[in-house]
Amino acid sequence: MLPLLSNGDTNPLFDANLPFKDETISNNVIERFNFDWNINKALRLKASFYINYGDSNSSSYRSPFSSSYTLKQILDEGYGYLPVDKRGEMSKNDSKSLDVSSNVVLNYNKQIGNHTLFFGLGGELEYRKYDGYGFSVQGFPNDKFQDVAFAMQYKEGSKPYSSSSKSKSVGVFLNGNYIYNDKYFADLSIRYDGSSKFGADNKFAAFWSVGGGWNIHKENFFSNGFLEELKLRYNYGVTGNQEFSAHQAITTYAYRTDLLYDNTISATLKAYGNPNLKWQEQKSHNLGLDFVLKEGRIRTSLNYYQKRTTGMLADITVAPSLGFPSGTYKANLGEIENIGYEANINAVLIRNQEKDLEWGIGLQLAHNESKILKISDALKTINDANNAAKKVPGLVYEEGESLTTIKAVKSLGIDPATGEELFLKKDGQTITRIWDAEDKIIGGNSEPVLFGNISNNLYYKSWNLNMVFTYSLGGDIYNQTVVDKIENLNPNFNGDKRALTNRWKKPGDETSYKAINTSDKTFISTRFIQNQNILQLSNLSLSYQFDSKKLSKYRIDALRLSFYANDLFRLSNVEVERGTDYPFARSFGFGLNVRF
Amino acid sequence: MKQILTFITIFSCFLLLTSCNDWLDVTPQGDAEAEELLSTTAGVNSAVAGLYYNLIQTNSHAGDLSFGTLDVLAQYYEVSDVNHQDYYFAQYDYNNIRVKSRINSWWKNYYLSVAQANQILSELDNNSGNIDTPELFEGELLALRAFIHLQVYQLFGPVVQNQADLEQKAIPYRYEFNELPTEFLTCEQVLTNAKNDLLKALELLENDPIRKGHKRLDNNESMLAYNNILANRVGRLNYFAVMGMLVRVEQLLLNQSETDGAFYWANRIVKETESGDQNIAFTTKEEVEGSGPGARDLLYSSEIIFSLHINNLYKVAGKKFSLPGYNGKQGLMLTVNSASFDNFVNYVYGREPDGAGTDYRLNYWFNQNSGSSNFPFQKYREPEDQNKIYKISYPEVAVLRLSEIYYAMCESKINVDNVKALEYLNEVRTKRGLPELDNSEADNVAIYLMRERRKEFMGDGRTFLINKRLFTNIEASSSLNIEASKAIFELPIPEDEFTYGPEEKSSNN
Repeated sequence: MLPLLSNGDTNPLFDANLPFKDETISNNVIERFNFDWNINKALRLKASFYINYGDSNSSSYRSPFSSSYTLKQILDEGYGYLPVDKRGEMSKNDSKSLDVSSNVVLNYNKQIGNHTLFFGLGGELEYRKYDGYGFSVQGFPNDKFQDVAFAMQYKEGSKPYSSSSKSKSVGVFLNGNYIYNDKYFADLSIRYDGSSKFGADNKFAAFWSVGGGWNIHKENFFSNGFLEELKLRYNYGVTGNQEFSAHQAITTYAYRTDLLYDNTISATLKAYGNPNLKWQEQKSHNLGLDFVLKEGRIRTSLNYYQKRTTGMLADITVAPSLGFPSGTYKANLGEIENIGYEANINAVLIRNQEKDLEWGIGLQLAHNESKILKISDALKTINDANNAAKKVPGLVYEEGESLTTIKAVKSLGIDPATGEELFLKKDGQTITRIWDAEDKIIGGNSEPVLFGNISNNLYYKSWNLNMVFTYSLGGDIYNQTVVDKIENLNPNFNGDKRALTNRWKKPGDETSYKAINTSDKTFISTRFIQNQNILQLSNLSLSYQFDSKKLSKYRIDALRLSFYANDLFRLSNVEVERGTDYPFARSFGFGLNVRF
Repeated sequence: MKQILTFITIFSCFLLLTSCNDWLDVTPQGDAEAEELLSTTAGVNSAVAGLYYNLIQTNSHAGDLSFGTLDVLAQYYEVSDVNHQDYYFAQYDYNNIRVKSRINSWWKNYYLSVAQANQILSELDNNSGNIDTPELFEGELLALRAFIHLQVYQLFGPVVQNQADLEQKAIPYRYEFNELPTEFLTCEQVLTNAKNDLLKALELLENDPIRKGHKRLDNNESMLAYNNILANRVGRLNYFAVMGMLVRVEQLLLNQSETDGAFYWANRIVKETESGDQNIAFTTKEEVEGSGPGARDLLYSSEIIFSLHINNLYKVAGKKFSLPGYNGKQGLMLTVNSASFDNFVNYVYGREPDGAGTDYRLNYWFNQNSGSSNFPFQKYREPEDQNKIYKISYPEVAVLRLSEIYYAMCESKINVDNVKALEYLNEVRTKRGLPELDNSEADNVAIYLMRERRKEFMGDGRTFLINKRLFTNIEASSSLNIEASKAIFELPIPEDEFTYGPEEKSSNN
């Protein structure tokens, strides 16, 4: 008797009754050690040490009687099961991980009259290691014993695998603060970091920043019943990052263990190692104004920043004949400028101490604009080489443009007579049916006009409700979902209903999508660029604090019960499929805090 | 006390920095920096093997470009199911999205190996001190670079019917591994570049062990200082394979001359392997018939001059052709149904006067499975008798065969000395169980040569490319005769070449 339905499909109830396993057991031992030593009135030494040792074992089992081993499933025809040595399988994986980090800081604190001085000198270290291996077996005569010893052989065509990784990083830093009379501030901070992930011969880089502040409200000339605090800040900093892997800077090969060539282990290039690759460095100016109103009920912080990034890292796409494994390589694009402002407003809207009610909201608004100031000479050379033979030049990056532009060919819609898309050529006048990458224009900008958070905090007696919304207004998006599921649709897979209803069928149809009987690829055009506004409830938490007086008879100091949820809803005026490449999680949880 | 401790803390921080750079040097497991890898013989062997690794993928010579899609393009198989992965290829619909994406992957895969060859060559220039047999490595890399460009050219290049056609733009020829794009060269330039690489390679391969010893011999003397390039020379672009590639280049350059053209190189191969030392010779009747179905040489192994060794070939081909012991997927398998088999019997292999039912290929390459009406293609079937040192056949896909060399000599004599041409053709025919063609048939030798090639190269992926080179109709059956046209022979070059490179898309692309 086969576990199949009359039409040959698998019988899921039958399979559900068979023994099946897919489990992972992980253990972690974590130790944190803190050391705090007041050497004298001015000096203090703090050190912390963290170690996390983990191991994980997973095993999965499928019964030999499962319908996936019937010939009908494997071959689409035939009666019966695969031979016994190919039925049933089990996989086992083992891994170990070690994570060590340590941090040492020496603080110096001195006050002489109106002068306050503070220094901090420290270092940190991190070491991470991971090792894992696994194998698969097959051929279980029956499903009584789910143990690898009862398998007839290793899984055909499979071989054991292993993986291991290691990373190390180290850094030292120095912070200094000077305050005069609680009115004037000066700050300094220097860092020197190194990491094994940095792909260069010199694995270290230094960053620093300086800043100053002025508590205007402490000045004698300041008298304003309305403003409680008024502070002006300025900060200039040099930071950098190195968002490239070692193999993108140094030509590296990777051994291929899946298939040997004859009796040789092959190694293939991982990527083009760009020898000119440098750290991306960012110089930023930040000017800020903080003020507090109305007995501390409204706190506002305004920031204006100007960040200039040199050596901006970007992935440059190249022609496939260059033979770069990923089709791209990392290069320093040139100089980018980001200018923007942020406003953070926190207000306590209701504060009623008798009713024990407080409601506060926080609003964050941000706006950012990016501009390419200069394209690096290396890229200019490539741009020029590409355009030398062409009649109409087309640059991939252009100075003065924003980084977030979406380039697409201008679409004039679907021709009702033929069901084909009509495009407008770059000259702005010629209409054509043929898509050409040369005709790309700036179709939109993915940078939103305004974005940020809105948080909502409500306290009522022992209850606390906190909600955080994120929003984004304006900002264009290329609706890939519509392209993939309506136009470039493979009829063998899932598709959007609109492919049946809204695609062009006969002359005279006025539709937004092209003819249903073509399988020609849809290339990027302005037809699918849409302006997007999003509102999302990212976090919600609700908690209840039990009355400590009532708890004291149980010897409990405090008891709090909480409920939290993430990603509850998302509203957008543009419908796209989300979570198909990487699933997003909507999670719910409960928490219990007890203090004895 | 406190000052000492303070001092120690600060001092140890600085100590960290100075000894740190080395501590931070961590190469991920399984990776090796190019400079380091290519400083040892074992490393260079692995890097060169990497080129072959790309070529033995199923979207390269372990499928698509040998016994798979290229044979569908040559109309060996009836693909009528619209869901089959090769359906649109059989219709020559190169605009179909999925067809285009697979074609793009062929182009991309080939150039990955070219890039790697260029990278290794640039590193070898600096190194060669520590490496054994540097000239063998360099020769093989140059030959591989030429071979791969020739493959790309044969697939994606324009149709060439006369000398003037050689001035058309073809493909890029890459000499460096860097980020600068290159313009497309003309057919003439691409072929001349390939020829120069091959001639240089021939010089460097002067001491190729295959010249004196069995092509499958392991020429290593010591296991400790093992040099993989010295073993199994047939699985690499060896001395004779380079000459074979020169035959192809000259044919593509329309040079059939006896003194420096296709005939010259073909003749040299035959002369230099006459002694039999290399075991490059026609397969005997005994080896072909063997002692039974599992013990036959279906690949004509002794005739192979250069092949790609694919360790999991029996499984890959088994699934493709539904061979005993393997189960394939409907949309990927290539089946020979009874109608197709009848066509092979009556039209391809059995049609008079040049065909006969005694043809070994007809008799042993198609076997009916009990309970099925199909005749699966057996060429890549796993042989059962594997006990001898030199086995009956190996898991390899032939790239260059001795038969191709004889056909080249035949072709070069057409309309020059048809009787001589027929002689060369008969040399191969008699080794395939066919009778010799009489001299009275000499005037039709070109037709018989084309038919013979169709019979011989099934499963090798050569037939479509030969039809393209000679611009002849694809005569698949009595009812299916595909007319030669640029539309079916010129595969579209990937769009990205024009978007990110200096070339402009011309009207025929």
